Amino acid sequence: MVLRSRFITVYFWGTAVIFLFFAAISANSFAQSSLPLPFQLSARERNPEAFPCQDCHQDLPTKNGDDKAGLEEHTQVSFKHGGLRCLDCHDSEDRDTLRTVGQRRVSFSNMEEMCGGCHAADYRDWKQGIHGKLLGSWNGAQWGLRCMECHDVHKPKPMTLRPEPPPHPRTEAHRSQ
Amino acid sequence: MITRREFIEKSALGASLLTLSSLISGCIPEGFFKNPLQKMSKEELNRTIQRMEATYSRKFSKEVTVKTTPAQQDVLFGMVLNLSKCIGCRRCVQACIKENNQSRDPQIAWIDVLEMKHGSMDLEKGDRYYQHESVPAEGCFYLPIQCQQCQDPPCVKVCPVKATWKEPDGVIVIDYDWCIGCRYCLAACPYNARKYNWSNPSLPAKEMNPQVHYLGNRPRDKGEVEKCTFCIHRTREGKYPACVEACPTGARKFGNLLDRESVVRKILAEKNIFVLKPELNVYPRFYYYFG
Repeated sequence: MVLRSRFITVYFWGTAVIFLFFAAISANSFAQSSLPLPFQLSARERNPEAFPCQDCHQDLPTKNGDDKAGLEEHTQVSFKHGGLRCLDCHDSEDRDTLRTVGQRRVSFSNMEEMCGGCHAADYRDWKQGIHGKLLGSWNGAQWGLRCMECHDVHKPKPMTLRPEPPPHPRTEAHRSQ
Repeated sequence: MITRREFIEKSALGASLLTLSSLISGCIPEGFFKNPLQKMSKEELNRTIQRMEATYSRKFSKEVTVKTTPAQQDVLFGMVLNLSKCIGCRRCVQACIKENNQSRDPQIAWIDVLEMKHGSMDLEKGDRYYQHESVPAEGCFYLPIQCQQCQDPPCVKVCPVKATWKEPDGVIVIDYDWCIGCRYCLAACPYNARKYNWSNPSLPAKEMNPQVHYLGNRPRDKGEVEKCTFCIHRTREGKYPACVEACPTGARKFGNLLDRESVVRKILAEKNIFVLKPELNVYPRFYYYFG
């Protein structure tokens, strides 16, 4: 009888210690994700002059999976983003918000929380200022840019530019030959 | 009849009298016997700056200010470049040319962008002269090279007149007026980062950047060596270098390597960074990574 209760005690406390150990380790990463950003973001609210989406959509029926009708209506959107569909990102009940993979609503001003659901590595880098451009000063106030301020979220593609001209072999001062 | 000895004595006397009289009368410009920057007294430096500002302002028909901002305390500059994001657009090259008053004809560019084929880091096979309708080209990556601001710089070691040295914030600078144009440093640099003014540089007045630094972007003369200084006139005031600001993809990151919270330190801690020609042990402060 005594032996059995001691076994249960050891078993219980051992499990508790192991659980607390793992909780302590993962608490560190939870704390990491809530660190303040090392840069500011410009305040961006939906342009009040723009038409609030719910004005139409609260009366329209929601047909999940039918992207064709949506793209026919929204002709300004050209869509090519992996295997995604409209309602994978846009909230089906409130078109003025977005929705993360975990079914959490986020506003357009915090869309990086949604994009980071799939693009986690870039999101983690962006939060530290590694991904994307930083403006401002290296030892003072810095501004970062949100996802849609650089990328076309409906049809993201790598940036291509026309390059500036090469050094002219005849007029350049330093020649290697 | 004049003997050889008499001729030599008379001409030596004449030459010394001529020099003395020119010195006294002021025909020789005041800056001719200028000290190198590191040996100048405060008064001489002030006089030199005033003279320079007057000369440049007259030459370029605009108000030019010459700064001598010293290095900040506890600052060591470092630059990191993400080679996966560089598309070879050369916006950094052009921004540097405009910001740093480089000669337009003959054309000098402190940054060279090499077009490299995927799978090889052989710098000898990089192409500086690529020209396409749009970049990035298929199967290529782009490697911008400028002064790597080495921690053990070979160019500083070989200068016979000590016209170039490493500043406390890590930037390798050149005192242009003290440079004799021997180009030994050009030969010593493993990265071809130093550029030489083979002839009189031409800089149109309206394109001249009037905010200059004595050791940085002030207009150079024929026979002087020049190179990237991490935009010393901007970075010592807390701003980013022109190439970092111009990059459209955000591939370039700049900051203080002694600040643990800086972006460059975070990249160095997390990413697989490398330097060019590490076997030479010059320890560049210009880091690259694919990420």
